[in-house]
Amino acid sequence: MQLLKQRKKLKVCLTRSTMEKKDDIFAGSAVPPKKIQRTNLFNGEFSPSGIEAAKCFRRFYYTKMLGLKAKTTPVAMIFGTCIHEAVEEFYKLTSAMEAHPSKKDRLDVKIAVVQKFAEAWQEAGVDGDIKRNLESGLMIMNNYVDKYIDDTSKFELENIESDQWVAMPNGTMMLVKMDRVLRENSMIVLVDTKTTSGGITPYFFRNFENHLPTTLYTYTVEQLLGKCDYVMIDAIKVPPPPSTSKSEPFGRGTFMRTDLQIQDAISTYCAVTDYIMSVIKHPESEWAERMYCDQSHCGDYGGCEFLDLCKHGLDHPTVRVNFDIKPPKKPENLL
Amino acid sequence: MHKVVDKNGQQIFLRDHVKYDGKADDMGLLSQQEGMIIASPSETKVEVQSLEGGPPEVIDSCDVVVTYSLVAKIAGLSTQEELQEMINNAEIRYDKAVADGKPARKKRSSSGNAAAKAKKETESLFD
Repeated sequence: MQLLKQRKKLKVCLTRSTMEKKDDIFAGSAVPPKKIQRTNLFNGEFSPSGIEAAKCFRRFYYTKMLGLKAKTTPVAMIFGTCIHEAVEEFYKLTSAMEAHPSKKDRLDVKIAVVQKFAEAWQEAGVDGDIKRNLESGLMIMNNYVDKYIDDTSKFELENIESDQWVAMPNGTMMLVKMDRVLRENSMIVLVDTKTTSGGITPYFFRNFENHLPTTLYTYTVEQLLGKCDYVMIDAIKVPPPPSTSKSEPFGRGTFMRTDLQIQDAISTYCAVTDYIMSVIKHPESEWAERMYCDQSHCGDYGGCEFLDLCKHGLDHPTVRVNFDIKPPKKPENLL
Repeated sequence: MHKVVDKNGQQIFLRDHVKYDGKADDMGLLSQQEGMIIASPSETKVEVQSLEGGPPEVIDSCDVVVTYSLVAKIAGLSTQEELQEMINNAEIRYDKAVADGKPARKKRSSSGNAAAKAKKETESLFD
């Protein structure tokens, strides 16, 4: 079991030094450090989540055009990212295993997965809160492995957490980061892991019936592999429900994407990106005004982080105190 | 993240339990305290939250001694029993933390019943 051996190598590194593991682990391992790819709209590059953020153009202006990034990342987001990393590890290991793993292999996988969470959590360097912390992450991953260890889906390694560039009809490029793509028995299924603090209920799954990023992922899979039979949402409740709760800790839902839905998603993508590309042809001084604020989204996700900037302008001290500014590289011929 | 070590050269991780000398009292006496690591601002400093409460303190990492490290324990996991024990403890602590963090549910107001009772008593006086 080559992958498990690799994990053991990682484990030794974790024991020695988690805080400086990045260099250590990759020095002697077959796993190369993952290079994070980012889009630059000035080169005509977009991502499905970026299009989702452009529901409010002003928000898109702050994040993608000015390069403002909040100095502190919410614990909930860090926790979700660490859960994602541990889930990715789980599928890398189980995809390389036989159909009916032995007791020893099951234990090895479980230990490797909880260690992966601990590793990611240490790297993030946060303590968390009463519900999102190292121990609750261990509980989630332990239960996740128990629930899905007998899932017979085998993912090819290159189809786990893969980044793909797709040429779009309006000449822009779209960067898609897909969690997993399952190719089995002539079926192709796109699997997207979602963490949610709400209940895993039919109401939660209804959000994905016509979810724009997921439809754009489907389009990407169709472009690359010729078809995508359906989309599966692999939902994980974070923080985990207490043992006395009747809430479901995990759940899966599957969705079809019709040609009409995909056509609609492409139309939305093109309309949004065409507008943004037209704005950057104007002088920079006009960008803020043209990338207007859609006030109906100010309350999304507990309140927009840029609200103070819309209230007081970019000269407000909040900008320096709360945000890092890393503007994307602009081409020289831009106005 | 940088590597931070304690007095004995053992690496310090977040949420590690440590012992350290607290602030001197009026008589200049130092008392040993127990706390939990909540941050490591630099390679030589750690932020400790005393288990007795109060505001967290930033102290030199060479002044603390790790007494319990969950991360080191996770890294050294090898048997089902060890893992199960860790998960059981985590579940107990998590349930307790969630229960402590939740405001106690108030009992339904009994004022309506009290008013009805008072009315009945008043009526009975006139019977």
